[in-house]
Amino acid sequence: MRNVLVTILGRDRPGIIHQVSRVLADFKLNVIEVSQTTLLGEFAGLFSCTLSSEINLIDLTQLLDQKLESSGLTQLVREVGAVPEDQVEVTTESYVVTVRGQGRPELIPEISGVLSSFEVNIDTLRAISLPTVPYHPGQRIVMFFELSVPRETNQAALREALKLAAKGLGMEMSLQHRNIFEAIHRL
Amino acid sequence: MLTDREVISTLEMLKNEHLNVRSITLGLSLMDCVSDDLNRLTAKIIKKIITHAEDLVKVCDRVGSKYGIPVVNKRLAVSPMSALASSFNSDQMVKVALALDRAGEAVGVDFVGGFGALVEKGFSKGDMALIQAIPQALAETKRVCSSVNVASSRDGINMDAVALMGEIIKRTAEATCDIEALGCAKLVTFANIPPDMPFMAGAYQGLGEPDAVINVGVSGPGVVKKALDRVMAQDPRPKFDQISETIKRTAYKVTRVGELLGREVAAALNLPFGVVDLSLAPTPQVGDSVGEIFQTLGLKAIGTPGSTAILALLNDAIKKGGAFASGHVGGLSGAFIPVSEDLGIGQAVVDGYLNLEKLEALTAVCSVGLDMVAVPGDTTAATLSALIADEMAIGMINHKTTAVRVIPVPGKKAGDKVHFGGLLGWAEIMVVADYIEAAAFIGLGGRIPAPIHSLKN
Repeated sequence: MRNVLVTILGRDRPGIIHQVSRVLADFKLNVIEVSQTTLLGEFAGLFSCTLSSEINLIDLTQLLDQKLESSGLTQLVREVGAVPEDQVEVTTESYVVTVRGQGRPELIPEISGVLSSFEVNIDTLRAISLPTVPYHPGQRIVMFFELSVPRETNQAALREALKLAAKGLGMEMSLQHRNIFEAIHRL
Repeated sequence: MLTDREVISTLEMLKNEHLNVRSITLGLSLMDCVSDDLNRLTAKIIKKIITHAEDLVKVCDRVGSKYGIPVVNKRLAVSPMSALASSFNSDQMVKVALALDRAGEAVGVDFVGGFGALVEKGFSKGDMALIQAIPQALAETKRVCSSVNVASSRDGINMDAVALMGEIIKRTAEATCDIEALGCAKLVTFANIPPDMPFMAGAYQGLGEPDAVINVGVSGPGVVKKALDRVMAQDPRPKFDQISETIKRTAYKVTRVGELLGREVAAALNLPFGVVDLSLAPTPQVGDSVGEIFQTLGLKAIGTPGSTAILALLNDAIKKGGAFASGHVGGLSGAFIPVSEDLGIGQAVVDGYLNLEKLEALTAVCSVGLDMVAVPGDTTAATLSALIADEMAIGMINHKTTAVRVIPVPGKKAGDKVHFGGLLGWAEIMVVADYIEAAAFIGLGGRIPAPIHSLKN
């Protein structure tokens, strides 16, 4: 069995999932995982599928193009190889970095730059706009990064580097183990 | 993936609602340090404390930082010293207290509890020596806290001990008169003292407890108040059912924080995890007050009619929410109403809404008792004992812990202010009805028998 990832982008409306899944089903693709979201009214969906070896991906791509183009949807099909056997498994712990303050263009590159220099992977990144309040002009946001931090990471140094980056941006930062969020809110 | 609400709400609780872990307390049995040689005893005590607690503060800080939750106090609770050092006299007991103080300083904890005695049915020689040593011990040490259990629902009230504690409190106030009688803030008289409580000044390591154990005291009046504010913002006239549900859910969240941190600290120190004490422990700052919750729920202040009903609801809902959140709960578990440590309660005294008599009524449904109450310096020992007797009776009959931590501040009269500093806060000296002499009553002595446990009404 081969694994393919089908990515669909376009203006959100009823019927997108039906349209895409119909084509995938016609090609005998078995959808095993889906992640979808909408931002500014735009739909973005990732379909992780398995398919039998005889199917030609070029045919699939062409048919998807044919069926979806008229609806204003764009697609990308990519075959995903197996994880190399020699890839070293890194033991990680889940942390959450939260940055609060006035949104600015340098925010994501600055914070992600620090994380990258510590070999920390960003699993998810979300930003939430907060209601504006008097005496705080500009768009206030909370951005949170869910992270996989290698166990051997120097936590104090990571915290310090993040604090410094946030300070440079004029924002507040916290780094907390993910379990605290789950402990408080989930049964 | 975490939801937006989970992240934002956690940050709010930490940033604006004063959520923290109030205390992680290492309970440590010192019974194996027993010796008939004072120097040997104190050396063994210091060695055992340092061996077991040298990493406590470091580990608590590391775990607190990992989760972004401050662990405000790190403390030690040790075996009741009157049992451990029973062969020594009062002067020697003071030396034991000094050893506890040194050991506490060496490991960097805020307080060491356990310089106390259990005398609900009578005094042993060691009990008497220890109690007599309390004023000097509390004056000469910084970290040592003392508790004396004088009553229980099973054994009744030792009125001789009640009489003695009035005198001991007076002597402690005099011995620490240069620091606003602060020694009395480290001395509590109990009925039904819990053996696993992490909060000071009453914490001690009960005789049925393990050799060493981690107990956690949570806080969270600010979190409860903000949760109720949100309910009121949506519906200005919510039913009490909804209020109770909100408090339960909030107590659950607060307790889970204590449980998570406590278990991790215990695992890091290779010790068993004992209990979470579900108490709402206030601090003397705006937004972290039990008293402010009464205003949110429509009263002018704590102390006005309706206060006892609200406190009963609050205390019960905290227990219900917290009990579900933790594997083991213990200690005091409920709402504290310490006058000087709670801005809302302290202000209610200043504004004339809360007097000593109403405070006593509230203690029938709160989790502690007359706590951090400053009274005039000329209050007699007999009147203090009579206050203690009333409070012990409430605890004994209602099968609950009650305690008296009362501070007769030398030179101060009703209406004066006294500042204790830090988490102990400030208070106005309350009026005590001591124009009615209590000496004849207290002079009777003996024991009030244990109450009957059936025919409840």
